[in-house]
Amino acid sequence: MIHLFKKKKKKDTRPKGGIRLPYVGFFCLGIFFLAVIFADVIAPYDPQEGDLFSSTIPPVWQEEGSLAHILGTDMLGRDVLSRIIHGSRMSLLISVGCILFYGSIGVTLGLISGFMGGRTDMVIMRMADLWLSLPAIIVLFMLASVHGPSAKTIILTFGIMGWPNYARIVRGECLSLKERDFVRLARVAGCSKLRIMFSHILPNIMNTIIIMATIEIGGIIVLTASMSFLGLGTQPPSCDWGLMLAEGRQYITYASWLVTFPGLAIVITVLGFNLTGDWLREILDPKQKLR
Amino acid sequence: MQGYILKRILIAMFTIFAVLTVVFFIFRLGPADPVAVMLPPNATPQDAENLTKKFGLDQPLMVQYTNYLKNAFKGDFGTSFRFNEPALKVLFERFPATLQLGLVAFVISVLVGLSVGIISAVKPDSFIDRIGRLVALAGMSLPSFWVGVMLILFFGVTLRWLPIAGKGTLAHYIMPSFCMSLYPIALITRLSRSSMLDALKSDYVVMARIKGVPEFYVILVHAFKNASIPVLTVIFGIFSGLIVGSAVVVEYIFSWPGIGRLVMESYFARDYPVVQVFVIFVTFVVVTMNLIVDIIYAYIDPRIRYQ
Amino acid sequence: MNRPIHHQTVMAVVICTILFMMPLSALAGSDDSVKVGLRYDPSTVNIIEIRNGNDIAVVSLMHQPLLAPHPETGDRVGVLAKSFEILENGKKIRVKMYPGARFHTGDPVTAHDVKFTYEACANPQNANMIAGLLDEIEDIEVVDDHTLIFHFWESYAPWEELMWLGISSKKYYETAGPEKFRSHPVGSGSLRFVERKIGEYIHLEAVEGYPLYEAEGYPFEKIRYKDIKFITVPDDMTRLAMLETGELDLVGEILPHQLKRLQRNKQINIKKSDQVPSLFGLACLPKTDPIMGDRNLGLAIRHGINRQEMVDKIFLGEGYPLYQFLSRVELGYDPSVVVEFNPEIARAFLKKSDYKPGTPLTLTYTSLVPNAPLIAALIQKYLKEIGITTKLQQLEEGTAITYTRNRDKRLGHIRLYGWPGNRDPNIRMLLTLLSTAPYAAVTDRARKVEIDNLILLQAREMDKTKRADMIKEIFKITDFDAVGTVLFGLNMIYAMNERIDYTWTPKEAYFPNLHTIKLVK
Repeated sequence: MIHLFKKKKKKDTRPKGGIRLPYVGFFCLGIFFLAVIFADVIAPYDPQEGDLFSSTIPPVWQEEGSLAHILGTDMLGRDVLSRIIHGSRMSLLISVGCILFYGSIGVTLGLISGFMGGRTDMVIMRMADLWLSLPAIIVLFMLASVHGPSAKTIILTFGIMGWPNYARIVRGECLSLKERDFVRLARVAGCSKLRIMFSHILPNIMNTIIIMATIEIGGIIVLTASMSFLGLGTQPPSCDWGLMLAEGRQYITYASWLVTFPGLAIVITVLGFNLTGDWLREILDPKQKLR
Repeated sequence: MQGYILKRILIAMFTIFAVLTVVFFIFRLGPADPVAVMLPPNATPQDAENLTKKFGLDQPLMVQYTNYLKNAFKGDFGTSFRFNEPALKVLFERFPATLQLGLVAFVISVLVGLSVGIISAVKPDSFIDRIGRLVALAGMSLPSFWVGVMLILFFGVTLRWLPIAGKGTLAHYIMPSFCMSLYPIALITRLSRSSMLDALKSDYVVMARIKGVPEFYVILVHAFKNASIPVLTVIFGIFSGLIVGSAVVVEYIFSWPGIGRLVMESYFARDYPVVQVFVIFVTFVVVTMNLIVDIIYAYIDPRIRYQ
Repeated sequence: MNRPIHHQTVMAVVICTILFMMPLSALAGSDDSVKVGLRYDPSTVNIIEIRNGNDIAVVSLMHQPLLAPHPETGDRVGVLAKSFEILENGKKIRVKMYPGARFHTGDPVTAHDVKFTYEACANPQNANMIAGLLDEIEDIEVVDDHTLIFHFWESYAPWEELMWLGISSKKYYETAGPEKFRSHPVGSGSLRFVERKIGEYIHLEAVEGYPLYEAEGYPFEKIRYKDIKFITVPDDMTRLAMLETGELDLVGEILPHQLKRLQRNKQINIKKSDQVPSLFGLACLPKTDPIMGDRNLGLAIRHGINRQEMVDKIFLGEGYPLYQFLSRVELGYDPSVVVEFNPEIARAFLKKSDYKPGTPLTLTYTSLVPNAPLIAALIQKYLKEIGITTKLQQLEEGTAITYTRNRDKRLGHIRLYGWPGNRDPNIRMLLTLLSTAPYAAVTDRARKVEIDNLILLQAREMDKTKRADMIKEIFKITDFDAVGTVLFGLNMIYAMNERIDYTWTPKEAYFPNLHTIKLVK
């Protein structure tokens, strides 16, 4: 066994002075954003309109498949491809909604906490601890059982629950920036605290925030899709990948394409975000603070 | 040190109290009326009145709240509408199954994740490293609920190799635990790989190598010991994550008789006391785990105490 | 250099896999056991606390009732009851019991046990699903050990609907105490309680030496299997897959689209019963918006919906259109009432109504109705074709129930509902058609007093033909008002492993008489 751990000369395959571009990631994201932006143009059918007389047509490469519906149709005769294309919008909407929601809370609290220090800092960080001990899915259960499940409930839940991570990292960054000369100078020049926080410190931590958002967005997409899958999120008849999976699951044994393709769509999108996020982190955050 | 621990315990207690309060008000102030929900379709208005009295719902909200806190302190979290048993008892009956599955998944994730992570760091760009990175990427990008459904379709329905649902033989553990450990494996692999890479570059490892310490010891004793702290934090987090988040999805798909499936069923059957006790129980577990981790850290790393 | 490790890893994986697979052979159950898959975990094992039909199917196996459905005809025949005698035009019913019945503890089943069971079920503390109905009974008089008289407040026509409760032992309650009585029930049925794990299974086993006596109308037979396990598998797909792999023997509540695959499997027999009278329909809610009480709008909706196409397309033909709030087997059902599907007629009615084109009507549904989103989407399409704009809204079931009971406007204009089947329309009318009823959608129809009176009177009418006429009269009025639309009833589809045989009892809504399962091999 020992020979495994023997030192071997490292062979750096990376190009000198740079990091390999995540072509696969870009490609995946390219497809995704193409779908989001041009959904109305490229989707062959209306995602909500179904023709019952063409229900559950298999994808084109299967025996009874037809070119009219490349990825087949669902029970109501709605075109799966069109629904997946339009579903990309819902995914982006929900995940970006969540991240904007908790990101802004997290960044604001993190800035205040890091900049003000003292008691304010302690209170906010204790609150973050408290928040972290309450799993988001639990909160979703409560909100959904009381107010009914919907995309709004999901955004609200993850929006309320996600901020502590942001707050912690922003606070850390803020603490080190606070002692830098340009902040001190701004203080001497008589800038208000608010102004220093938002126009001097914030632009300098924007990088960190963007990397975090890119890294987290993939996770959020999976998370929200699984909530819709469980019936705690988006409700029919909207186009949502998680929901499509949940609906298709009943028919899995004879219409497996209803489950396979929305799943693949999630995988491709998340893969794209993850690869790109990793790449961004490596070029923008060489010290790997955001592991 | 004692002061620090005391402070931590107080904060933990406050957290639980806050959650109890939030849970009470969210469920009471929602649009669904528990009495209307509990009544069978052929109930008469008289039945509704009786039930309202039985559950003390005719009293003012603050009285209900104090009663609720008093009962919660005694461990009484109401009666399950569905089973007519104490909600906490119903939950505890189902908890062992969740714990067993969680432990299996946890052990798998830690073993696989750590070993793949360490080997990848020691031998970058080797075969295992590539596989490891691929697994990490897949684990991060594949939704576990989709993987679960695909596994059932392939191994259960098409090939008929593995049982699809329920709990009984060892074979029942394979698919759910695999499904559950996918994400944690990815997380641990990534983290242990990068921590190890850092540690291997550090001065003390170089020093040890110069001193002629065998490579095996350098890696496992010098480098890994130092790389383990961030990994440990994540591992603790994963364990509570496993029995909470993943449990709900995986138990639902594989019909595993644990608390995750219980809460889904209770949610759909509108058995709010069980959902409520689940929320409280899970918070309690997570808070306690965090408390233990904090205290352990304080022992390991004295700097934390004086923060 | 790395090679050997790879080999080791691969070998280890292979060995582990083989080791994991070993216990698989133990999966096949013993030959004389039967495993039934359930969607919902029964809420109780005790007859005193039953909440729904799912509970009845399991719990009733352990008990004998006074009356039970005959496994082949579905008619109610005496099991514990030897004879019924209707006295004072139905105000009193004298029941004579067979003397031979015994509880699993060995004690004889007496009239005292019947009185005890009925009183416990009527106790609101136990939240029994028929507690409300038992209020009709004023008192139960025990004449001797095997004779008793039910005293009703007033004569009660659907009295047979109260006679199916399984009888529990009074002596067992007194000796074992309430807790053991609840969790380890004792009955006189041919199956005995063994074990229950909440959320996992309920295990019953056949009792030796049955049948104990002969009943005139009821075919007592020896149980053909050793024990029966009810396994809860909430997920539809998983439950069916378990049927295919032999982990389950019998599964009910199969949705039509799941049939295709099952039909290809030679080891599985599929049976259907069109007797299950669950109703699906649209309730129009004038409380939300008075326009919903408009007769012409109601008629437009009734004529604008293609029920047959809905059944064919969504439920693959496994059902039938219904036009009355009654199922086929119920008293007062009139097969001649048919509403023609014709968009032309529908448009004409719509023109006459006060509905302003373009005004969106909210169509509410919950996940409790199978395929509800599909049905709702299809209805939206039909209504759009005749010129009615609808907006879909899915509500959480608890919220929907609360809104219904409180007549809250947030429930929307139209609600898609499913109503569980029953043999007698009485309860349904009391709960939905009476103007003061908790689920009434229409509380102030023009002939409100007349319809309320008829509903109360028919329950007192002991003559079946006269009663049927009264019920027909009630439905004539509601048909004229045209508020709400009944859509269809669905067949009950159930499938079993080829090693067992079971046939649904006619006229029953829930898995009845599971003790009649036969082992084929």
